[in-house]
Amino acid sequence: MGERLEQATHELRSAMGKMDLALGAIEESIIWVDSAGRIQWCNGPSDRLIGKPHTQVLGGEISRLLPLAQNGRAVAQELHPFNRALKNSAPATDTYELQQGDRSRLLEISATPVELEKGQRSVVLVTRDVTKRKQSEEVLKRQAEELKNERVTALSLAEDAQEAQKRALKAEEEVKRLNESLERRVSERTTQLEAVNRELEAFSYSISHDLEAPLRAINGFSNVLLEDHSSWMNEEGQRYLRLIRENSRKMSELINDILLFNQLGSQPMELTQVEMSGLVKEALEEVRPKASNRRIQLNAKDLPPAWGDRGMIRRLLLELISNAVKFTKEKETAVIEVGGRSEAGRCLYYVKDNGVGFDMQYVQKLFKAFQRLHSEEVFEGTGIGLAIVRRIVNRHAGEIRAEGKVGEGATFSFAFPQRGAR
Amino acid sequence: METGLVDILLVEDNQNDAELTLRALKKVNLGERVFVARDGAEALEFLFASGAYSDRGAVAGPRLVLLDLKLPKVDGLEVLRRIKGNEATRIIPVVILTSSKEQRDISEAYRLGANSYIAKEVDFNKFSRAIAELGLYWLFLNQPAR
Repeated sequence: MGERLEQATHELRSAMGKMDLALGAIEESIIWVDSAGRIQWCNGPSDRLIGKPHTQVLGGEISRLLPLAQNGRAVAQELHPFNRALKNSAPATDTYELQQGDRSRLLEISATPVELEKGQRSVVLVTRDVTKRKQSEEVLKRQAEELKNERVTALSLAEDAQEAQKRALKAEEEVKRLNESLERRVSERTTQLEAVNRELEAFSYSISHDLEAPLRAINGFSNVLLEDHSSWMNEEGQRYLRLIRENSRKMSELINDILLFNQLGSQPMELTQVEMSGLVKEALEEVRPKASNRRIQLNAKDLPPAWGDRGMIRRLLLELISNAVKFTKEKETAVIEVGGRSEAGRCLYYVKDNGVGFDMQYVQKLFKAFQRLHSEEVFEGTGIGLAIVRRIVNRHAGEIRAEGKVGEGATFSFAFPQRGAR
Repeated sequence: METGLVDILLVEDNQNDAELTLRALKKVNLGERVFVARDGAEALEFLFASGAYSDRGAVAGPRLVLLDLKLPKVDGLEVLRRIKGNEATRIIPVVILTSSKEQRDISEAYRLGANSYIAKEVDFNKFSRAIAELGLYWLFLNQPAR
């Protein structure tokens, strides 16, 4: 009997030892408290949780040894999980904070009321450290939150982008609309301008035809009078007729020059390589008959060819050389020098004479239509010649200038861009 | 005016120009057999013996036409087109005599077969000289087709 008891006791101790070892090997702390909250039993991890040796833990008050808090506030004794389990007679699981020194831990505590014998109630507290899990959860939650925020941000960015795109599209449409309206207006204006141009052309045409006819009659019949009827007309009468004839001729020249000046503004250009030296000689030959009783010395240097409209350049040279001949009429020998050279991207030419010259303070007036520096009695002309010259130079995107000194002659220089340099 | 034997058909609506042209022609003894048509339609009727000139019958056409461009009814370029488009009249030399110096008119006239193009000068001496020279050239110097 004693032997069997000893044997049973030994087996029980062995079993309890095994159970102790087993329960000490798990992560959870298991604490057995009586109805007054005193610790009756606990496994190894509980001592580490509480932070005291096993002997000091056993019999200790759970609420003092394991002071819990929720949301930073201490949990009152009556609300301690063991008390809640006792009061409700039901298991309760909740999460609590455990402050130990400056270290805070998060515990998930399941409190289960047990009744070993009638009227003798206890509570088993199974405590799991969930600090890391909660931290991970927090991190995950925060990351989720961040992700959500990022998603929101991304969404709002996407919305912004969409909005911006819409605005860009709208702006693009606006630009397109404005462009179309601009094109329409340009086209309308062009049509109007073309109409005005056609009217001007028709006007020029009718000037040349309709104004010249009466002038031809005036000139013609003055001539007829002089030829057929001068026998009964005195010298004074004949002089008046000659004046009429002369003035009708001048008016005709004026009309022709104005027409030419107008045409030069709109006339299409035919650009070619223009041989300048030949044109200079041609121009002089054309002018020479007007000064047949004079000695004219033409010094034509080698001229580089120009890139431009041959007809226009011919007219330009004719005007300048005819000017040179005209303004040297008081010289015994007119000396006209024509020269030129090519330099970076352009060709320069000049026509120089030894005539009456001009005062440089009037140089601005020189190229304006109808501006004269001399009275018509002294030097005849329509006053449009140099305006024609300047217009031709402008049409070629060139430059022109004049230099002179009273009594010492004048030099007109002009420069044309070379081919492709425009 | 005699419409039978005509050397020159002058198509000119301006009375003054017509008179001055005739005077210039007379100076070189070409003023006798000239017929003046006052517009394009009359010129065509005269040339093709129709309308008011249907009784001209088969009388030989003029040896020279002096043609203004700006004319009432039928304009000068149209008259030129009809002359040069007809087998019987296309060999008649046509000299355009006008105040237009428009390149467009000059080109179109030559394209249609004009034999010469003279711009009328305001200066009567030049005008007369041009008329006299062209009359003598086309009626005496030039050798026409038979």
